[in-house]
Amino acid sequence: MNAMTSKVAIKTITKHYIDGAFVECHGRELMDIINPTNGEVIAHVTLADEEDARRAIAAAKQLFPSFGRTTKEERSEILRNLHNAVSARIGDLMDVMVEEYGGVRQFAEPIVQSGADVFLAAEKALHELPLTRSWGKTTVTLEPVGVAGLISPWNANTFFLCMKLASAVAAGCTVVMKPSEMSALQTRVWLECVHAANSRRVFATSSRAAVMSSGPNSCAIPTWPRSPSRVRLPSASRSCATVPRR
Amino acid sequence: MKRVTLELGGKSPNILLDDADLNKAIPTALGIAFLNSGQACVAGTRLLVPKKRLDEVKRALVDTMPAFPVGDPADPKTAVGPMVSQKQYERVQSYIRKGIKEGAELLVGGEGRPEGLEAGFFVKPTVFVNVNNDMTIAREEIFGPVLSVITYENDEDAIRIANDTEYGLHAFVSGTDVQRARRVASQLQAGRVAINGMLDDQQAPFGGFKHSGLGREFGTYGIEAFLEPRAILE
Repeated sequence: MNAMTSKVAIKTITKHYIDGAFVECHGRELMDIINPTNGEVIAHVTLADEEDARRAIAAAKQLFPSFGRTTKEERSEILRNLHNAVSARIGDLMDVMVEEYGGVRQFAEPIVQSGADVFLAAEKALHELPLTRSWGKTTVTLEPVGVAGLISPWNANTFFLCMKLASAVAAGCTVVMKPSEMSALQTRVWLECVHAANSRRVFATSSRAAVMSSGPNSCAIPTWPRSPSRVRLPSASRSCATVPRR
Repeated sequence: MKRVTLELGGKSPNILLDDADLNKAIPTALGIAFLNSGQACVAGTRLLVPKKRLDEVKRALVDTMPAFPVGDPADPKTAVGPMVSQKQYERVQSYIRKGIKEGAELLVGGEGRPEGLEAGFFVKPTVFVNVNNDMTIAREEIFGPVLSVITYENDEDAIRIANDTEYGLHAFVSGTDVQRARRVASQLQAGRVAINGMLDDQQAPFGGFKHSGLGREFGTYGIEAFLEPRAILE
């Protein structure tokens, strides 16, 4: 047991990704990440508090006016960059899904690949979706709804993060994402992909497509309804609430 | 005012039509049930089989189980890994106990950890037969590798049982006559119905009827969820 613990260095996750940068968590509550295959603690994650959620929401709100005005072509470029960045880390994303979640390799491989591919699927859908229709003297445009709050479950972390981000970016929404705290290691690798995609940006706005907090406490959720003017569209997928706390 | 999209749980039926080829349909059924170690909202956890073929189905299920080994998730041969946490392990155990208590018959699996896998949160991939659609294991989402086999009399009865659920995220139909499978599929109350397999299309809407959610994700449907129409009139 001791040999095993000393062999695997315990990782720590203490940062969120807000406005293109990894920033220290304001919250102080710690949670263990346990490898479900052997029951060993493999990481400690610092959970977000309401202040962290407020900072993420404020950044997303500030970025929305410019991002909401991007063209289909600009959003397509961001989606392709995200696809490339996630594709470049498929192996790492699979490995961390196996380690942290206990996902079987048979499933981890296709579902992580599916996450990479969903950005291209969203790009295709964006091009098929008419954002402007007009008749007579009337013009109807489809406008991004605002800051999107994206809550995702622990059972296919990379896939759900990719899928929700892809649709929101295609629509022109900035986002605040709340992945499961049990997926903190997986989210960290995924955020490195997002960061890499942004560093290759073509448009100034591309660095602003994603505003999110990594591994926050579920208390981030109830803070949103208290900011009714900010987060316009919560989108949630559910897995069972099984969060161990200490 | 909030706009909300929700993708919630499921208790998805897999209707095995009486013309199904069990050599294909049973591996598919177990693959759908044990997908992502059963921790999948789309898992087909109610296998509806024609009463007259139950004995055959039971034999085929037992014979096919070795193709779904439980163990180290890093091993490419492993089909079922550990549950995500101790709490999820206990949740699955409690449902297996409820199934037994309510009178379902264990065909394979059961309570406790599989032999040699005591350290992690492993459960035994489990198949119950003689399940009544009113039992807890047929109504509630377990989120683990537990399959309930329910018998039906004819196609109409199968459709009735399939739709007799609070959920409506996914459904599956397995059969040889594709026209007939389509007829059955068109009567199922689910956001997605897959014929002969676990299929995906990233342009097809994904989301649930009834308690399985609000709105749809994927493709143009998923993007529209984040958009608001504005009309300018001159």
